Amino acid sequence: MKRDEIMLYWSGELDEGTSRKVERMLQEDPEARACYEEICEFWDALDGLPQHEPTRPCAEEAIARIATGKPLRRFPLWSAVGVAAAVVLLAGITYQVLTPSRNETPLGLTHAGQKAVPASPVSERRSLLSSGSQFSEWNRATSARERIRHLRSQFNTVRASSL
Amino acid sequence: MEDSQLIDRFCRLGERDAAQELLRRYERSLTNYLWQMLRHPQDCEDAVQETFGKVLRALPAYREENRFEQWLFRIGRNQALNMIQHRKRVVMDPEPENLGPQFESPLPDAAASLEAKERIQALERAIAKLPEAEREVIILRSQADLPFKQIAELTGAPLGTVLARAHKARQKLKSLLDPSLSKK
Repeated sequence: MKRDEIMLYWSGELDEGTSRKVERMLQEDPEARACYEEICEFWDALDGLPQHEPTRPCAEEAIARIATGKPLRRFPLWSAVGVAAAVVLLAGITYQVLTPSRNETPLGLTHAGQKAVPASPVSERRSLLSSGSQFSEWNRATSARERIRHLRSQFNTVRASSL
Repeated sequence: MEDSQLIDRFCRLGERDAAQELLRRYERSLTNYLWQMLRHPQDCEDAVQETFGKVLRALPAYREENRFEQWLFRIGRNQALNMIQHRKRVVMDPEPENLGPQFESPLPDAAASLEAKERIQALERAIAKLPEAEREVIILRSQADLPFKQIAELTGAPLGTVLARAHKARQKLKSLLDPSLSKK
């Protein structure tokens, strides 16, 4: 685009060949020349903007802060690896605690040979809404607290029957 | 001495003078850029200092893929954007008398007249009214003296977009300041 090339020419960012092309265009095309003059005028006006100096020696202060004991790298690599490992471990434990056993089904139904455990009313209502994949729906819909309550009641029932 | 040599001397030999020379090369342009972004003297100096601190800490990991100046400005830009976001303080229109004596700009003798001063103030106010993306291009090109191609890399926008923003900003400033610019 002509305007962009003129802007880059003004900025001194064109290679030699393209610069020559733009110079020819500026000589031959009055519209391009007017555009160039306008660009020059605009950026010259911005040159008049005030220059701001920092009131304190920021470079020196930053260097002094670094030099007074603060390490260049704030956290060593091993600490990052340790944190990452701890997060993964915690996530795994949480998943194990909160995810129901594969033997469980919604609505308190169990596999053959096991006693049925009554499901909580909330989870029952939620699971009734799903017509297809009940397992995933149940997993998604029930809260962690419901699952824990459900597991606890199942555990109590199994213990009572074994006694 | 090249930037890369100074970086090497600081990182390998721990020469503080080398780091000082390196930072002081860009201190003024970075201050001007951050000043226009933040429009607040204290925020501006804090941002410069934080940027330098981050740069010094990251220098050992710095690689020569990009130019140091561009890298420095990218860190400064992120710092300014964070400050704007967190402090929710964008002073759009400070008058020079509110900036304290330290930020009163040394005007050139020829422009010391009242008319010239008013013109420059009007220009600053108009720039502050521009959308952030357009303002940034104008500031980086005029105050920080970065080429458009580097601005494109710094802001992550294509070169054509950067040039279009510069053009739009020019049109808007022209309409806002036609008398002042035409008098120039």
